[in-house]
Amino acid sequence: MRNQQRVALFYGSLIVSSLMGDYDSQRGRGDSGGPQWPVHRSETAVLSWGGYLDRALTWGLEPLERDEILHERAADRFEHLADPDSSISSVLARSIWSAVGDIWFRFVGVETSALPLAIVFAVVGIGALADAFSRGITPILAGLNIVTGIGYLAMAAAGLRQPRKLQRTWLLPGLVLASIGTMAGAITLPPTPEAGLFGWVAKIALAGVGTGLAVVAVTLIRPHFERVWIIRGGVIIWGSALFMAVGEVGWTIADAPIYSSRWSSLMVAFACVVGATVIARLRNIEVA
Amino acid sequence: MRRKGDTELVTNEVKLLLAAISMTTSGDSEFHGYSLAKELARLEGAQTPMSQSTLYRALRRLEERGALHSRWESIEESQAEGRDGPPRRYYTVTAPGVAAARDAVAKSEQAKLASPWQTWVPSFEGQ
Repeated sequence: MRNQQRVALFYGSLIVSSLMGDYDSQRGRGDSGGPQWPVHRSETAVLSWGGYLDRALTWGLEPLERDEILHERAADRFEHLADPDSSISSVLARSIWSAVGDIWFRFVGVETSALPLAIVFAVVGIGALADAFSRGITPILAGLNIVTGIGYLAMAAAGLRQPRKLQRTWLLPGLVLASIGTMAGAITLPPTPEAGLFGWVAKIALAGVGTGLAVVAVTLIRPHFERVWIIRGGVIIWGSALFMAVGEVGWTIADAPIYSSRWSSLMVAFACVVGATVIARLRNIEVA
Repeated sequence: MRRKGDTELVTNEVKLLLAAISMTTSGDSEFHGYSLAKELARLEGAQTPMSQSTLYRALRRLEERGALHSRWESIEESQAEGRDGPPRRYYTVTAPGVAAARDAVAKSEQAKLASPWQTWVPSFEGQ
């Protein structure tokens, strides 16, 4: 590693450390008064940055569980650095690889949190709001897009407030707004002549998403909460999003994009598939 | 991905359990995560130890299943060793852990011995 990189790593870690106030705890020293073994500055930086990655990627876990994970990994990194067979690049590479693993486990793997769902909802919400202000859109559709956008953003907030749970107080109004906006949008959306069959695909897919959202909303409103209906609603949303993706791809192949370019159609299709996949992975999400 | 029915150990868990037993039989009754990852790398001939995200999740699951037991190192212990740094979490293999590893190895051996057609024929044993 070049000296400049080492210096950059070191000062970067110092800045973040000072902001977070845990420089000593990352080193595992507490109040012991600094290192007792000869460490290079870049090693210190790797220890610190590894700790910050761990902190970021364990966000939202139970405090005790998180504390144990952070301590155990800090000890592991320390041992790895002290290992005579290892090099600083191997420690750095392992930390980065570990972060990639964490992202996988927490976003699409078996430990999915509400965060990816919140991100998907936020993207859809922002997209709906952006659509509302695009040119050539009718005032009714613009209004419905705004309703839908606000609904999705509220649903995103439900996932951001309690990372491992969707908070009902935000989720429910969001679901109602998004469902009304999406279904009304599906009814109002005029299939353009050039869109043909795929215009109907979009209408049906939107109606499906709206129905799925409504199923989840009604399940949450009902006094006897039946979780299975949330899963069924999710399956309807998932299927509709995939149907939408198929429609978008078909639209692009037929050279009749509803959007400004083929790329935007394909991007919508991609977003639908990613969104549907994320939703499908979130069967274990709790509603608090 | 996670196990199918939550009843069997997944590959990484079996590997770690076998590495843990290997360490125990060579005299290390207690081991910490990094030493176990290193032992596994040695057994597999890998250069880099298993990533932390995979390693500690698997260890947590093994502990939940009762295959391992863990405890945190005390400050006095680390001072007595003359070692500094964050406290280690020490693991030990339990008797159910040894049994689970033995089962996993036996199943693996059976799967190797069984011809492909046999694995697809439904078993009518006990009927």
